[in-house]
Amino acid sequence: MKRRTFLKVAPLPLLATAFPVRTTAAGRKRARELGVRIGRLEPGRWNAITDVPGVEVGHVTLIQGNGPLRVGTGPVRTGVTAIWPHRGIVRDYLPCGVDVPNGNGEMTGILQAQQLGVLNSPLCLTNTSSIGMVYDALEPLQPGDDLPPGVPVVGETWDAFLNDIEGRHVHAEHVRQALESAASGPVVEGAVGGGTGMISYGFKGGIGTASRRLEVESGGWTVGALVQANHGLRELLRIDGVAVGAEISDLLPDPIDEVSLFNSILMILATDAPLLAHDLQRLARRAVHGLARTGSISGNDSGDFALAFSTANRIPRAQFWRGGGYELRSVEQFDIGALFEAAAEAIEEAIINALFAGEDMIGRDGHTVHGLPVERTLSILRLHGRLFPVDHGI
Amino acid sequence: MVFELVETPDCSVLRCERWDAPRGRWFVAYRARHGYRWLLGNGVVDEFATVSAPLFIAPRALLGAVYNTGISLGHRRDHDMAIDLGWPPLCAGVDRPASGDAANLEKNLLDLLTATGKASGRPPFSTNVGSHAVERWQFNGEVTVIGTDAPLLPQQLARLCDTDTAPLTIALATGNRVTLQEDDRPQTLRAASEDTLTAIITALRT
Repeated sequence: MKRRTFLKVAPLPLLATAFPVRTTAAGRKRARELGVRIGRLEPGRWNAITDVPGVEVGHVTLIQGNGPLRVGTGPVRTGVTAIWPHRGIVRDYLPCGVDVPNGNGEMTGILQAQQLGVLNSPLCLTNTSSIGMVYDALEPLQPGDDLPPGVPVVGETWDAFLNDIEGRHVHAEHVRQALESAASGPVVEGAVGGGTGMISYGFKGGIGTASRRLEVESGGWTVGALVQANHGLRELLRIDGVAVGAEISDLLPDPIDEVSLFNSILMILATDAPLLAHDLQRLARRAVHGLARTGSISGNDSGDFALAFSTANRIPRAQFWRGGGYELRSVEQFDIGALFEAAAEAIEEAIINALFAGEDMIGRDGHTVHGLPVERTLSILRLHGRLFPVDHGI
Repeated sequence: MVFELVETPDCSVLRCERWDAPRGRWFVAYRARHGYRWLLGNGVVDEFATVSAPLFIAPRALLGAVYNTGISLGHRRDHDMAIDLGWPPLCAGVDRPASGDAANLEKNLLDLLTATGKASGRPPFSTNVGSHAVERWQFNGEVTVIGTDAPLLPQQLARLCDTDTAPLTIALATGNRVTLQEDDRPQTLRAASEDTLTAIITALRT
Protein backbone atom coordinates (compact mmCIF):
# COMPACT_ATOMS: atom_id res chain seq x y z
CA MET A 1 0.00 0.00 0.00
CA LYS A 2 1.24 3.40 -0.89
CA ARG A 3 1.79 5.49 2.17
CA ARG A 4 1.64 9.17 1.65
CA THR A 5 3.55 11.96 3.27
CA PHE A 6 1.30 12.95 6.10
CA LEU A 7 2.51 16.35 7.09
CA LYS A 8 3.60 19.48 5.33
CA VAL A 9 4.79 22.29 7.55
CA ALA A 10 6.55 25.54 7.03
CA PRO A 11 10.04 25.89 8.50
CA LEU A 12 9.92 26.68 12.18
CA PRO A 13 9.82 30.46 12.48
CA LEU A 14 11.95 32.08 15.11
CA LEU A 15 9.22 34.49 16.03
CA ALA A 16 6.38 33.43 18.25
CA THR A 17 3.04 34.82 17.16
CA ALA A 18 1.55 37.31 19.57
CA PHE A 19 -2.12 37.60 20.44
CA PRO A 20 -2.73 40.99 21.96
CA VAL A 21 -6.28 40.27 23.15
CA ARG A 22 -6.37 39.74 26.91
CA THR A 23 -7.99 36.38 27.37
CA THR A 24 -7.12 35.42 30.92
CA ALA A 25 -9.32 35.98 33.92
CA ALA A 26 -6.57 37.96 35.59
CA GLY A 27 -5.46 39.80 32.47
CA ARG A 28 -2.17 37.92 32.31
CA LYS A 29 -0.40 37.30 29.06
CA ARG A 30 -0.71 33.98 27.32
CA ALA A 31 2.28 31.73 26.91
CA ARG A 32 2.71 32.51 23.23
CA GLU A 33 2.58 36.25 23.88
CA LEU A 34 5.55 35.79 26.18
CA GLY A 35 7.63 33.90 23.66
CA VAL A 36 6.76 30.32 24.54
CA ARG A 37 6.30 28.31 21.41
CA ILE A 38 4.78 24.86 21.64
CA GLY A 39 5.35 22.58 18.68
CA ARG A 40 5.85 23.55 15.07
CA LEU A 41 2.38 24.19 13.70
CA GLU A 42 0.75 27.61 13.55
CA PRO A 43 -2.26 28.51 15.67
CA GLY A 44 -5.49 29.90 14.32
CA ARG A 45 -6.61 33.49 14.69
CA TRP A 46 -7.58 33.27 18.37
CA ASN A 47 -5.39 30.33 19.28
CA ALA A 48 -8.52 28.90 20.80
CA ILE A 49 -11.07 26.16 20.28
CA THR A 50 -13.30 28.86 18.82
CA ASP A 51 -11.06 29.00 15.77
CA VAL A 52 -13.14 26.07 14.58
CA PRO A 53 -16.11 27.78 12.93
CA GLY A 54 -19.33 27.36 14.85
CA VAL A 55 -17.72 26.50 18.18
CA GLU A 56 -18.70 28.85 21.01
CA VAL A 57 -17.59 28.93 24.64
CA GLY A 58 -19.16 30.54 27.68
CA HIS A 59 -18.26 30.57 31.36
CA VAL A 60 -20.08 31.27 34.57
CA THR A 61 -17.66 31.78 37.43
CA LEU A 62 -18.79 31.53 41.03
CA ILE A 63 -16.46 33.09 43.59
CA GLN A 64 -18.00 34.00 46.91
CA GLY A 65 -16.98 34.11 50.55
CA ASN A 66 -13.84 33.42 52.51
CA GLY A 67 -12.92 31.61 55.67
CA PRO A 68 -13.85 28.24 57.12
CA LEU A 69 -15.76 25.71 55.07
CA ARG A 70 -19.46 25.66 55.82
CA VAL A 71 -21.10 23.10 53.58
CA GLY A 72 -23.89 24.70 51.60
CA THR A 73 -22.62 28.22 52.27
CA GLY A 74 -19.06 28.34 51.02
CA PRO A 75 -16.48 29.55 50.36
CA VAL A 76 -17.39 29.05 46.71
CA ARG A 77 -14.69 28.71 44.06
CA THR A 78 -16.32 26.93 41.16
CA GLY A 79 -18.43 27.37 38.04
CA VAL A 80 -19.42 25.89 34.74
CA THR A 81 -17.99 26.16 31.24
CA ALA A 82 -20.26 25.51 28.29
CA ILE A 83 -19.15 24.59 24.78
CA TRP A 84 -21.48 24.67 21.83
CA PRO A 85 -20.06 22.53 19.02
CA HIS A 86 -22.64 24.47 17.03
CA ARG A 87 -25.84 26.07 18.24
CA GLY A 88 -28.07 23.47 16.63
CA ILE A 89 -26.30 20.45 18.10
CA VAL A 90 -29.42 18.94 19.64
CA ARG A 91 -31.02 18.75 16.19
CA ASP A 92 -28.03 18.31 13.91
CA TYR A 93 -25.70 15.77 15.47
CA LEU A 94 -21.94 15.67 14.97
CA PRO A 95 -19.65 12.64 14.81
CA CYS A 96 -17.48 12.28 17.89
CA GLY A 97 -15.01 9.95 19.54
CA VAL A 98 -13.60 9.58 23.03
CA ASP A 99 -10.47 8.30 24.68
CA VAL A 100 -9.98 7.74 28.38
CA PRO A 101 -6.37 7.37 29.46
CA ASN A 102 -7.49 6.92 33.06
CA GLY A 103 -11.13 6.70 33.98
CA ASN A 104 -11.24 7.67 37.63
CA GLY A 105 -13.72 10.38 36.83
CA GLU A 106 -16.94 11.16 35.08
CA MET A 107 -17.94 12.34 31.67
CA THR A 108 -21.53 11.58 30.91
CA GLY A 109 -22.33 10.65 27.36
CA ILE A 110 -19.20 8.62 26.72
CA LEU A 111 -21.27 5.46 26.38
CA GLN A 112 -23.29 7.19 23.69
CA ALA A 113 -20.09 8.22 21.93
CA GLN A 114 -18.89 4.62 22.05
CA GLN A 115 -22.23 3.10 21.04
CA LEU A 116 -23.50 5.61 18.48
CA GLY A 117 -20.48 7.74 17.59
CA VAL A 118 -22.38 11.00 17.81
CA LEU A 119 -22.55 14.11 19.93
CA ASN A 120 -26.01 15.63 20.38
CA SER A 121 -25.64 17.99 23.31
CA PRO A 122 -23.62 21.03 24.25
CA LEU A 123 -20.73 20.08 26.51
CA CYS A 124 -20.41 21.39 30.03
CA LEU A 125 -17.42 21.21 32.36
CA THR A 126 -17.87 21.65 36.09
CA ASN A 127 -16.93 20.19 39.47
CA THR A 128 -17.45 16.58 40.54
CA SER A 129 -20.44 17.06 42.78
CA SER A 130 -22.33 19.23 40.31
CA ILE A 131 -22.51 16.64 37.54
CA GLY A 132 -26.13 15.74 38.26
CA MET A 133 -27.25 19.35 38.53
CA VAL A 134 -25.67 20.27 35.20
CA TYR A 135 -26.90 17.10 33.53
CA ASP A 136 -30.45 17.97 34.61
CA ALA A 137 -30.04 21.48 33.28
CA LEU A 138 -28.97 20.24 29.84
CA GLU A 139 -31.59 17.55 29.51
CA PRO A 140 -34.51 19.92 28.70
CA LEU A 141 -32.62 21.25 25.67
CA GLN A 142 -33.40 18.03 23.83
CA PRO A 143 -36.33 18.25 21.41
CA GLY A 144 -39.51 16.87 22.86
CA ASP A 145 -40.73 14.97 19.83
CA ASP A 146 -41.04 11.25 19.20
CA LEU A 147 -37.39 10.77 18.21
CA PRO A 148 -34.97 9.49 20.85
CA PRO A 149 -33.39 12.29 22.88
CA GLY A 150 -29.66 12.85 23.11
CA VAL A 151 -27.50 12.32 26.16
CA PRO A 152 -26.17 15.44 27.92
CA VAL A 153 -22.38 15.60 28.05
CA VAL A 154 -21.00 16.80 31.38
CA GLY A 155 -17.43 16.36 32.55
CA GLU A 156 -16.04 16.94 36.01
CA THR A 157 -12.88 17.52 37.96
CA TRP A 158 -12.47 17.81 41.74
CA ASP A 159 -12.13 21.31 43.23
CA ALA A 160 -12.68 20.49 46.91
CA PHE A 161 -9.32 21.90 48.03
CA LEU A 162 -10.54 25.43 47.33
CA ASN A 163 -14.29 25.07 46.95
CA ASP A 164 -17.27 23.98 49.02
CA ILE A 165 -17.81 21.13 46.60
CA GLU A 166 -20.38 19.36 48.72
CA GLY A 167 -22.52 22.50 48.70
CA ARG A 168 -23.17 22.04 44.97
CA HIS A 169 -23.34 25.71 44.13
CA VAL A 170 -23.71 25.29 40.37
CA HIS A 171 -27.40 25.49 39.48
CA ALA A 172 -29.51 25.33 36.37
CA GLU A 173 -29.52 29.10 35.89
CA HIS A 174 -25.72 29.10 35.81
CA VAL A 175 -25.74 26.47 33.08
CA ARG A 176 -28.25 28.50 31.11
CA GLN A 177 -26.13 31.65 31.54
CA ALA A 178 -23.02 29.85 30.37
CA LEU A 179 -24.85 28.50 27.32
CA GLU A 180 -26.44 31.84 26.50
CA SER A 181 -23.28 33.87 26.96
CA ALA A 182 -21.18 31.53 24.83
CA ALA A 183 -19.48 33.18 21.90
CA SER A 184 -16.86 32.68 19.26
CA GLY A 185 -13.61 34.67 19.38
CA PRO A 186 -11.21 34.88 22.32
CA VAL A 187 -11.82 32.48 25.20
CA VAL A 188 -11.14 33.62 28.74
CA GLU A 189 -8.70 31.26 30.46
CA GLY A 190 -7.60 30.42 33.95
CA ALA A 191 -9.82 30.57 37.02
CA VAL A 192 -13.07 30.79 35.12
CA GLY A 193 -16.09 28.58 34.65
CA GLY A 194 -15.56 24.96 35.52
CA GLY A 195 -11.86 25.67 35.97
CA THR A 196 -12.32 28.22 38.76
CA GLY A 197 -11.12 26.05 41.64
CA MET A 198 -8.78 23.73 39.80
CA ILE A 199 -5.10 22.98 40.45
CA SER A 200 -2.58 21.78 37.90
CA TYR A 201 0.95 20.62 38.65
CA GLY A 202 0.57 22.21 42.06
CA PHE A 203 -0.10 25.63 40.53
CA LYS A 204 -3.40 27.30 39.89
CA GLY A 205 -4.93 25.49 36.93
CA GLY A 206 -8.27 25.79 35.20
CA ILE A 207 -9.41 26.50 31.68
CA GLY A 208 -6.92 26.70 28.83
CA THR A 209 -7.35 26.70 25.09
CA ALA A 210 -5.27 26.69 21.90
CA SER A 211 -5.58 25.78 18.25
CA ARG A 212 -3.61 24.71 15.22
CA ARG A 213 -4.29 25.51 11.59
CA LEU A 214 -2.86 23.22 8.94
CA GLU A 215 -1.31 24.47 5.74
CA VAL A 216 -3.58 24.38 2.72
CA GLU A 217 -1.52 21.52 1.28
CA SER A 218 -2.35 19.52 4.41
CA GLY A 219 -6.04 20.26 4.08
CA GLY A 220 -6.19 23.72 5.67
CA TRP A 221 -8.15 22.28 8.59
CA THR A 222 -8.23 23.72 12.08
CA VAL A 223 -7.98 21.74 15.30
CA GLY A 224 -9.00 23.52 18.50
CA ALA A 225 -8.51 22.36 22.06
CA LEU A 226 -9.98 23.34 25.38
CA VAL A 227 -8.95 21.79 28.69
CA GLN A 228 -10.08 21.93 32.27
CA ALA A 229 -6.73 21.26 33.89
CA ASN A 230 -6.72 19.86 37.41
CA HIS A 231 -3.95 17.33 37.12
CA GLY A 232 -0.27 16.67 37.46
CA LEU A 233 2.56 16.45 39.94
CA ARG A 234 4.75 19.52 40.28
CA GLU A 235 8.05 17.71 39.85
CA LEU A 236 6.86 16.23 36.55
CA LEU A 237 5.79 19.53 34.93
CA ARG A 238 7.45 20.19 31.59
CA ILE A 239 6.94 23.27 29.47
CA ASP A 240 8.08 22.92 25.89
CA GLY A 241 10.19 19.98 26.98
CA VAL A 242 11.90 21.83 29.83
CA ALA A 243 11.57 20.32 33.30
CA VAL A 244 10.25 23.53 34.83
CA GLY A 245 8.48 21.77 37.69
CA ALA A 246 11.68 20.25 38.97
CA GLU A 247 13.20 23.72 39.18
CA ILE A 248 10.32 25.35 41.06
CA SER A 249 9.89 23.27 44.17
CA ASP A 250 8.38 26.02 46.31
CA LEU A 251 4.98 27.71 45.92
CA LEU A 252 3.18 24.47 46.61
CA PRO A 253 -0.49 24.41 47.65
CA ASP A 254 -0.93 25.10 51.34
CA PRO A 255 -1.61 23.00 53.37
CA ILE A 256 0.13 20.48 51.14
CA ASP A 257 -1.04 17.43 53.10
CA GLU A 258 -4.68 18.17 52.27
CA VAL A 259 -4.40 18.44 48.52
CA SER A 260 -4.65 15.67 45.98
CA LEU A 261 -2.16 16.50 43.28
CA PHE A 262 -2.95 13.82 40.75
CA ASN A 263 -6.59 14.59 40.06
CA SER A 264 -7.92 14.96 36.56
CA ILE A 265 -8.13 16.73 33.24
CA LEU A 266 -10.90 17.13 30.69
CA MET A 267 -9.72 17.59 27.11
CA ILE A 268 -12.04 18.69 24.31
CA LEU A 269 -10.90 18.69 20.70
CA ALA A 270 -12.85 20.30 17.88
CA THR A 271 -12.00 20.22 14.21
CA ASP A 272 -13.56 21.28 10.94
CA ALA A 273 -11.82 18.40 9.20
CA PRO A 274 -14.40 15.89 8.02
CA LEU A 275 -13.68 12.93 10.26
CA LEU A 276 -15.96 10.07 11.14
CA ALA A 277 -16.43 8.75 14.65
CA HIS A 278 -13.77 6.04 14.51
CA ASP A 279 -11.18 8.54 13.33
CA LEU A 280 -12.29 11.06 15.93
CA GLN A 281 -11.62 8.38 18.51
CA ARG A 282 -8.10 8.18 17.09
CA LEU A 283 -7.82 11.98 17.23
CA ALA A 284 -8.98 11.96 20.86
CA ARG A 285 -6.26 9.45 21.64
CA ARG A 286 -3.67 12.01 20.43
CA ALA A 287 -4.82 14.39 23.13
CA VAL A 288 -2.98 12.10 25.49
CA HIS A 289 0.28 12.79 23.67
CA GLY A 290 -0.15 16.51 24.30
CA LEU A 291 -1.02 15.81 27.92
CA ALA A 292 2.02 13.61 28.34
CA ARG A 293 4.34 16.27 26.94
CA THR A 294 3.42 18.50 29.85
CA GLY A 295 4.49 15.79 32.27
CA SER A 296 1.32 13.89 33.11
CA ILE A 297 1.35 10.14 33.40
CA SER A 298 -2.44 9.96 33.89
CA GLY A 299 -2.12 8.92 37.50
CA ASN A 300 -4.28 6.25 39.03
CA ASP A 301 -6.38 8.89 40.76
CA SER A 302 -6.99 10.77 37.53
CA GLY A 303 -10.17 11.04 35.59
CA ASP A 304 -8.63 11.94 32.25
CA PHE A 305 -11.17 12.17 29.45
CA ALA A 306 -10.66 13.30 25.87
CA LEU A 307 -13.59 13.97 23.55
CA ALA A 308 -13.14 14.97 19.91
CA PHE A 309 -15.82 16.14 17.51
CA SER A 310 -15.92 17.29 13.93
CA THR A 311 -18.14 20.11 12.73
CA ALA A 312 -17.79 19.17 9.07
CA ASN A 313 -20.66 16.73 8.89
CA ARG A 314 -23.99 17.68 10.40
CA ILE A 315 -26.30 14.74 10.76
CA PRO A 316 -29.99 15.68 10.96
CA ARG A 317 -31.44 13.71 13.81
CA ALA A 318 -34.42 12.54 11.76
CA GLN A 319 -32.03 10.96 9.26
CA PHE A 320 -29.84 9.62 12.03
CA TRP A 321 -32.66 7.75 13.73
CA ARG A 322 -34.98 6.92 10.84
CA GLY A 323 -35.35 6.81 7.12
CA GLY A 324 -33.02 5.94 4.34
CA GLY A 325 -29.71 7.13 5.77
CA TYR A 326 -27.46 10.09 5.13
CA GLU A 327 -24.17 11.06 3.53
CA LEU A 328 -20.92 11.97 5.24
CA ARG A 329 -17.66 13.42 3.95
CA SER A 330 -14.44 11.97 5.27
CA VAL A 331 -10.76 12.73 5.06
CA GLU A 332 -8.93 9.73 3.70
CA GLN A 333 -7.47 7.91 6.66
CA PHE A 334 -3.90 8.13 5.52
CA ASP A 335 -4.20 11.92 5.29
CA ILE A 336 -4.94 12.59 8.93
CA GLY A 337 -1.45 12.43 10.39
CA ALA A 338 -1.18 16.21 10.40
CA LEU A 339 -4.39 16.41 12.39
CA PHE A 340 -2.90 14.10 14.99
CA GLU A 341 0.06 16.40 15.41
CA ALA A 342 -2.23 19.42 15.57
CA ALA A 343 -4.32 17.74 18.27
CA ALA A 344 -1.30 16.92 20.42
CA GLU A 345 0.16 20.42 20.06
CA ALA A 346 -3.13 22.18 20.74
CA ILE A 347 -3.78 20.16 23.89
CA GLU A 348 -0.23 20.73 25.12
CA GLU A 349 -0.46 24.48 24.58
CA ALA A 350 -3.95 24.65 26.08
CA ILE A 351 -2.60 23.14 29.30
CA ILE A 352 0.33 25.54 29.34
CA ASN A 353 -2.05 28.44 28.71
CA ALA A 354 -4.16 27.35 31.68
CA LEU A 355 -1.04 27.50 33.85
CA PHE A 356 0.11 30.89 32.56
CA ALA A 357 -3.39 32.27 33.22
CA GLY A 358 -3.45 31.17 36.84
CA GLU A 359 -3.08 33.64 39.69
CA ASP A 360 -2.88 32.98 43.41
CA MET A 361 -6.19 31.90 44.90
CA ILE A 362 -7.27 31.49 48.50
CA GLY A 363 -10.23 29.23 49.02
CA ARG A 364 -12.03 27.43 51.80
CA ASP A 365 -10.32 27.19 55.17
CA GLY A 366 -7.64 29.52 53.88
CA HIS A 367 -6.34 26.91 51.49
CA THR A 368 -3.97 28.59 49.09
CA VAL A 369 -2.85 27.77 45.57
CA HIS A 370 -0.22 29.84 43.82
CA GLY A 371 -0.18 30.88 40.21
CA LEU A 372 2.70 29.88 38.01
CA PRO A 373 5.53 32.38 38.66
CA VAL A 374 5.79 33.73 35.15
CA GLU A 375 9.12 35.52 35.32
CA ARG A 376 10.87 32.56 36.96
CA THR A 377 9.35 30.24 34.39
CA LEU A 378 10.49 32.42 31.51
CA SER A 379 13.98 32.58 32.99
CA ILE A 380 14.15 28.80 33.11
CA LEU A 381 12.92 28.51 29.53
CA ARG A 382 15.41 31.14 28.42
CA LEU A 383 18.21 29.25 30.09
CA HIS A 384 17.28 26.17 28.09
CA GLY A 385 16.97 28.06 24.82
CA ARG A 386 13.22 27.64 24.65
CA LEU A 387 12.11 31.26 24.75
CA PHE A 388 11.58 32.97 21.42
CA PRO A 389 11.26 36.60 20.44
CA VAL A 390 7.70 37.77 20.16
CA ASP A 391 6.52 39.35 16.95
CA HIS A 392 3.98 41.92 18.07
CA GLY A 393 3.14 42.74 14.49
CA ILE A 394 1.22 39.54 13.90
CA MET B 1 -29.52 -12.82 48.86
CA VAL B 2 -26.92 -10.83 47.01
CA PHE B 3 -28.92 -7.63 46.60
CA GLU B 4 -31.51 -5.77 48.57
CA LEU B 5 -33.99 -3.76 46.54
CA VAL B 6 -34.90 -0.30 47.79
CA GLU B 7 -37.57 1.46 45.76
CA THR B 8 -39.37 4.73 45.38
CA PRO B 9 -41.98 5.16 42.65
CA ASP B 10 -39.28 6.61 40.41
CA CYS B 11 -36.10 4.78 41.34
CA SER B 12 -35.00 1.24 42.04
CA VAL B 13 -31.82 0.79 44.00
CA LEU B 14 -29.96 -2.49 44.31
CA ARG B 15 -27.47 -2.57 47.13
CA CYS B 16 -25.40 -5.31 48.64
CA GLU B 17 -24.33 -3.48 51.79
CA ARG B 18 -25.38 -0.63 54.03
CA TRP B 19 -24.81 2.88 52.76
CA ASP B 20 -22.16 3.52 55.45
CA ALA B 21 -20.29 0.24 55.07
CA PRO B 22 -16.54 0.19 55.66
CA ARG B 23 -14.40 1.04 52.68
CA GLY B 24 -14.27 -1.47 49.87
CA ARG B 25 -15.72 -2.22 46.47
CA TRP B 26 -17.01 -5.09 44.38
CA PHE B 27 -16.02 -6.40 40.99
CA VAL B 28 -18.51 -5.47 38.30
CA ALA B 29 -18.86 -5.64 34.52
CA TYR B 30 -21.42 -4.37 32.06
CA ARG B 31 -22.44 -4.80 28.46
CA ALA B 32 -24.38 -2.23 26.48
CA ARG B 33 -26.22 -3.40 23.37
CA HIS B 34 -28.60 -2.07 20.74
CA GLY B 35 -27.28 1.48 21.16
CA TYR B 36 -28.05 1.68 24.86
CA ARG B 37 -26.42 4.83 26.24
CA TRP B 38 -28.13 5.90 29.47
CA LEU B 39 -25.45 4.93 31.94
CA LEU B 40 -23.58 7.30 34.27
CA GLY B 41 -20.57 6.32 36.34
CA ASN B 42 -19.32 3.83 33.77
CA GLY B 43 -15.95 5.51 33.30
CA VAL B 44 -14.76 4.13 36.61
CA VAL B 45 -16.15 0.70 35.79
CA ASP B 46 -14.31 0.78 32.46
CA GLU B 47 -11.09 1.63 34.26
CA PHE B 48 -11.20 -0.38 37.47
CA ALA B 49 -14.01 -2.94 36.99
CA THR B 50 -15.28 -2.13 40.47
CA VAL B 51 -18.13 -0.27 42.13
CA SER B 52 -18.62 0.85 45.73
CA ALA B 53 -22.04 2.48 45.44
CA PRO B 54 -25.50 0.97 45.06
CA LEU B 55 -26.86 0.50 41.54
CA PHE B 56 -29.54 3.04 40.66
CA ILE B 57 -32.14 2.41 37.95
CA ALA B 58 -34.55 5.22 37.11
CA PRO B 59 -36.40 6.90 34.25
CA ARG B 60 -33.74 8.49 32.11
CA ALA B 61 -35.27 11.95 32.56
CA LEU B 62 -34.35 11.65 36.22
CA LEU B 63 -30.79 10.46 35.79
CA GLY B 64 -29.32 13.77 36.91
CA ALA B 65 -31.38 13.80 40.09
CA VAL B 66 -30.57 10.18 40.78
CA TYR B 67 -26.88 10.86 40.22
CA ASN B 68 -27.19 13.73 42.70
CA THR B 69 -28.56 11.26 45.21
CA GLY B 70 -25.60 8.98 44.71
CA ILE B 71 -23.23 11.94 45.12
CA SER B 72 -24.98 13.03 48.32
CA LEU B 73 -24.79 9.50 49.66
CA GLY B 74 -21.10 9.39 48.77
CA HIS B 75 -20.42 12.69 50.50
CA ARG B 76 -22.21 11.49 53.65
CA ARG B 77 -20.08 8.39 53.67
CA ASP B 78 -16.87 10.27 53.08
CA HIS B 79 -16.49 13.98 52.31
CA ASP B 80 -13.79 13.22 49.75
CA MET B 81 -15.87 10.46 48.11
CA ALA B 82 -13.01 8.04 47.68
CA ILE B 83 -13.46 5.31 45.13
CA ASP B 84 -13.79 2.80 48.01
CA LEU B 85 -16.46 4.88 49.69
CA GLY B 86 -19.31 5.37 47.28
CA TRP B 87 -17.98 7.23 44.28
CA PRO B 88 -19.15 7.30 41.58
CA PRO B 89 -22.75 6.15 41.63
CA LEU B 90 -23.61 3.79 38.79
CA CYS B 91 -26.92 5.02 37.42
CA ALA B 92 -28.84 3.39 34.57
CA GLY B 93 -31.73 5.04 32.77
CA VAL B 94 -34.82 3.29 31.47
CA ASP B 95 -37.38 4.53 28.98
CA ARG B 96 -40.41 5.16 31.13
CA PRO B 97 -41.93 8.41 32.34
CA ALA B 98 -41.30 9.77 35.80
CA SER B 99 -44.38 9.10 37.84
CA GLY B 100 -44.29 11.33 40.84
CA ASP B 101 -42.57 14.06 42.70
CA ALA B 102 -39.23 14.29 40.99
CA ALA B 103 -38.30 17.41 42.94
CA ASN B 104 -38.27 15.42 46.18
CA LEU B 105 -36.75 12.30 44.71
CA GLU B 106 -33.30 12.97 46.12
CA LYS B 107 -34.52 13.61 49.66
CA ASN B 108 -36.91 10.66 49.68
CA LEU B 109 -34.33 8.32 48.25
CA LEU B 110 -31.66 9.49 50.68
CA ASP B 111 -34.02 8.99 53.61
CA LEU B 112 -34.79 5.49 52.41
CA LEU B 113 -31.21 4.53 51.74
CA THR B 114 -29.87 5.82 55.03
CA ALA B 115 -32.69 4.39 57.13
CA THR B 116 -32.28 1.11 58.91
CA GLY B 117 -34.86 -1.53 58.21
CA LYS B 118 -35.93 -4.05 55.69
CA ALA B 119 -35.67 -3.43 52.03
CA SER B 120 -38.47 -4.56 49.78
CA GLY B 121 -38.62 -6.92 46.85
CA ARG B 122 -37.13 -10.19 45.81
CA PRO B 123 -35.37 -11.03 42.57
CA PRO B 124 -37.55 -12.46 39.82
CA PHE B 125 -34.93 -15.16 39.41
CA SER B 126 -32.71 -16.61 42.10
CA THR B 127 -31.03 -19.93 42.53
CA ASN B 128 -28.09 -21.56 44.20
CA VAL B 129 -25.16 -22.97 42.32
CA GLY B 130 -23.24 -25.09 44.74
CA SER B 131 -22.77 -22.84 47.73
CA HIS B 132 -23.23 -19.67 45.74
CA ALA B 133 -26.31 -17.51 45.31
CA VAL B 134 -27.16 -16.23 41.85
CA GLU B 135 -29.81 -13.59 41.14
CA ARG B 136 -31.15 -11.86 38.11
CA TRP B 137 -33.13 -8.66 38.30
CA GLN B 138 -34.83 -6.97 35.38
CA PHE B 139 -36.03 -3.42 35.00
CA ASN B 140 -38.40 -2.21 32.32
CA GLY B 141 -37.14 -4.82 29.87
CA GLU B 142 -34.03 -2.69 29.38
CA VAL B 143 -31.71 -3.31 32.28
CA THR B 144 -30.70 -6.68 33.66
CA VAL B 145 -28.62 -6.97 36.81
CA ILE B 146 -27.00 -10.29 37.64
CA GLY B 147 -25.60 -10.75 41.12
CA THR B 148 -23.70 -13.55 42.72
CA ASP B 149 -21.71 -14.10 45.85
CA ALA B 150 -19.32 -16.33 43.93
CA PRO B 151 -15.82 -14.87 43.68
CA LEU B 152 -15.97 -14.02 40.00
CA LEU B 153 -13.29 -11.84 38.45
CA PRO B 154 -14.18 -9.02 36.03
CA GLN B 155 -13.58 -11.04 32.89
CA GLN B 156 -15.82 -13.77 34.27
CA LEU B 157 -18.51 -11.21 35.05
CA ALA B 158 -18.26 -9.99 31.48
CA ARG B 159 -19.05 -13.54 30.38
CA LEU B 160 -22.10 -13.55 32.65
CA CYS B 161 -23.24 -10.40 30.88
CA ASP B 162 -22.94 -12.26 27.60
CA THR B 163 -25.66 -14.69 28.72
CA ASP B 164 -28.18 -11.85 28.48
CA THR B 165 -29.64 -9.86 25.61
CA ALA B 166 -31.06 -6.79 27.34
CA PRO B 167 -29.89 -3.38 26.14
CA LEU B 168 -27.85 -3.09 29.35
CA THR B 169 -26.61 -5.95 31.48
CA ILE B 170 -24.67 -5.42 34.69
CA ALA B 171 -23.05 -8.29 36.56
CA LEU B 172 -21.68 -7.89 40.06
CA ALA B 173 -19.98 -10.35 42.39
CA THR B 174 -19.62 -9.99 46.14
CA GLY B 175 -17.20 -12.88 46.46
CA ASN B 176 -14.23 -10.55 46.67
CA ARG B 177 -13.94 -7.36 48.65
CA VAL B 178 -11.44 -5.11 46.91
CA THR B 179 -9.92 -2.42 49.12
CA LEU B 180 -7.21 0.16 48.97
CA GLN B 181 -4.26 -1.16 50.94
CA GLU B 182 -2.76 1.45 53.21
CA ASP B 183 0.59 -0.28 53.28
CA ASP B 184 0.51 -0.91 49.51
CA ARG B 185 0.85 -4.65 50.03
CA PRO B 186 -0.97 -6.92 47.58
CA GLN B 187 -4.32 -8.24 48.75
CA THR B 188 -5.43 -11.80 48.36
CA LEU B 189 -8.39 -12.36 46.09
CA ARG B 190 -10.22 -15.56 45.30
CA ALA B 191 -11.27 -16.76 41.86
CA ALA B 192 -13.99 -19.17 40.84
CA SER B 193 -13.08 -22.13 38.67
CA GLU B 194 -14.30 -22.46 35.11
CA ASP B 195 -16.61 -25.23 36.32
CA THR B 196 -18.27 -22.85 38.75
CA LEU B 197 -18.61 -20.16 36.12
CA THR B 198 -20.06 -22.65 33.64
CA ALA B 199 -22.56 -23.85 36.24
CA ILE B 200 -23.69 -20.27 36.91
CA ILE B 201 -24.03 -19.57 33.21
CA THR B 202 -26.05 -22.77 32.78
CA ALA B 203 -28.31 -21.80 35.66
CA LEU B 204 -28.91 -18.37 34.16
CA ARG B 205 -29.78 -19.89 30.81
CA THR B 206 -32.19 -22.43 32.27
